[in-house]
Amino acid sequence: MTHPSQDLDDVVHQRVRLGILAVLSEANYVDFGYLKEVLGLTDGNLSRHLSVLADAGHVTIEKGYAGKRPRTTVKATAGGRRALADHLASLKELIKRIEGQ
Amino acid sequence: MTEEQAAAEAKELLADVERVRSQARTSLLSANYALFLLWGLLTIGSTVPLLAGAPNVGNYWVGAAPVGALISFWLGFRSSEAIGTGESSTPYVITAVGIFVFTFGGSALFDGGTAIVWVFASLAVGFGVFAFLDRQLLVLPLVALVVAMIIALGITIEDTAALYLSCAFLLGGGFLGLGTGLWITRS
Repeated sequence: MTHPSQDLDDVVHQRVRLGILAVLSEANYVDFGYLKEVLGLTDGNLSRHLSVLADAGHVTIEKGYAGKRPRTTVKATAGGRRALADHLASLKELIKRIEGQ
Repeated sequence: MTEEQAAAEAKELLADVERVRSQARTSLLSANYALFLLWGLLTIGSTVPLLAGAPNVGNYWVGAAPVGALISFWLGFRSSEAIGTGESSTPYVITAVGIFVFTFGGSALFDGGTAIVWVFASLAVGFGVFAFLDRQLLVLPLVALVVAMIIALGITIEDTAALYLSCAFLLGGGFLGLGTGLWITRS
């Protein structure tokens, strides 16, 4: 039996990226500006973390327009939603295992 | 890092996840406060012709329901643009069409008290489906309670006008109360 900490996904196991996936799990799509505000991040910081998640296939990023205003929307992929659920389950298992010792 | 530190960090991460999730959930739900206020006013408004002595409220809903639906779609679109989160519109459109089919179909199929209970219960269930689509599972027990109360009113009140007024004030009042609560949460 492997230790639950070995099940933790390095891409997801990071406070900001976990926060991004958590927000995305509540909606079909989320505006870049909304993510920035709810997570208290700068444009550059959020972009960096989104790139990591997009490279791992956990999110998709779409650039478009709302009227004449440029708009970037982010969506969690099915893999991203699964990765979040698996990660939360692993964290709970880790706590249970350590506290059960 | 010791195992105790790892457990403490894991707990902190889980708490953070729950906090941002609940913040996002509140943003989505509170964005819909205007919809609840709108349908609350329309439902309470439907009692006016009855109280004024009109024989039924069918004509009122033939006009009010499509207007309410159009305003609802506009409000839904505007709120998702404003708060920056949203959902695919297809399940919402299907639910809205379902509510129309069930309410108007039920009122054509049934008579008297049964039609009234059917229409109001369909409206309540329809809003329950909207809440489910918005992942607002806490609203679902409230919907179940309102449906149970509507059925109980249908069993206990024989006079159809009194039954309609009771159901309209119950559901309309519920919508207005929820809408006001969400509006307060939002501001």
